[in-house]
Amino acid sequence: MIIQGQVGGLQIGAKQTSGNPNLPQGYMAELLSSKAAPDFYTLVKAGVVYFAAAANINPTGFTGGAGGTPAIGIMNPAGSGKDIVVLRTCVGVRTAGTGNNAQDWIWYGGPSTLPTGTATTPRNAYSLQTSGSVATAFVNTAMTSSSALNAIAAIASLGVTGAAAGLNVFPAGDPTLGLVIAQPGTLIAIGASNTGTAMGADVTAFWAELPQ
Amino acid sequence: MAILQGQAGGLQTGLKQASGNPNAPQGFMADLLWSAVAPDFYTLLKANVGFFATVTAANPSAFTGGAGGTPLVGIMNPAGSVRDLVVLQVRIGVRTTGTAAVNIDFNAYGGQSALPTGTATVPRNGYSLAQSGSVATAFLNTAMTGSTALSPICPLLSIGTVGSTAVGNAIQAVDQPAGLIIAQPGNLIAIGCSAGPTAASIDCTVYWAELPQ
Repeated sequence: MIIQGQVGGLQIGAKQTSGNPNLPQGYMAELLSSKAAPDFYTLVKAGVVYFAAAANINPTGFTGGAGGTPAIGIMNPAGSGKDIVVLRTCVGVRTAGTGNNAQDWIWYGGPSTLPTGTATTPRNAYSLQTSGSVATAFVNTAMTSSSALNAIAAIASLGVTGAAAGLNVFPAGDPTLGLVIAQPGTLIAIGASNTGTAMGADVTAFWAELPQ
Repeated sequence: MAILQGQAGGLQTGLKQASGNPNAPQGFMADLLWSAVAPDFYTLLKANVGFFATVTAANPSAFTGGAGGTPLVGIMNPAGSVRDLVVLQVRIGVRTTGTAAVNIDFNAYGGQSALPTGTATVPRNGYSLAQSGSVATAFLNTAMTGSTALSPICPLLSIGTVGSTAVGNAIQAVDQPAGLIIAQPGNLIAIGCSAGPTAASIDCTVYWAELPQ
């Protein structure tokens, strides 16, 4: 069946009941569309979305230094044939802790050799199993032998927290939407600007692994 | 009515086409131009595949994914359902954080599990608002007896440290995973509060779509 258009906006009162199903066009003849599945469903269903999560960590200060300890590091090994495309970043705070602190959470990245620190296998967002990813994750552990990374973009700020932990209320989701990418041979990491004192933080990064 | 054709160069806003084939405008990079019609989730709800579970005025138990634990909302996709449960939105409302000091973060958890035997709630259809049609079983602020331990997926909302005198919070607590949180058949997902407050009053809703595998 050939698809045809019909300009003039929606024909709300008269659904077409016979003939070729015309695609409605808007008042400037543009195509009209409605969303079917939610934004990330197609990628997740295709089995190419993964995540790494850090639960209730007291973060070490990380500002991109070589061999440092981020909340989460994600290494895309050279020769993987995939781009790691960050979809969403989440930072949650159970408690800001008990010390004076001013903290900003930031994405870092750059070329690096594969760190030798304790690695974590990323989890597939569809199966929720730890299998299938080309990446190596580092969760609140030293990325031994990593190269120094450059700051990419801030995620969330706690500002100045007093010695008696203050009240923090904020939603955790950051729609990164592909602005942070690790091509093969690149390491990206989420770091808190200062080390917490008895802090409890939850951090997750979701990414898609797409063919280069 | 005619076959659709494209016309590159951006919108012709000052000169509407009055006759001939209705050209679909294309952008300055020959990209397709379009306008939205229905809001994002309308098509799914209208198709009767959008469901939700809501718990109101709950004083949550601490839940960090442990087996048999008590989340604010748990959603089980039974093995063999041939549906994927695709989370659309999670909403958390705070009536009061309670009367004792506590540190709180709300997280999503998930993993493979047997069907819990705790008190179950039938999810509501987002279109009819009736408790029918869902393949899922929901658990609202009740023990998911017999469930397997779940892994953390992502944080949703932080309240941080609440003092012993409850403080008012003004928030818009809408999280839109947009399909990043999915329960395939045999998987259990849950929204949990990291600590158990005293006399807190929390509202929580999870919306999901049930799509064919």
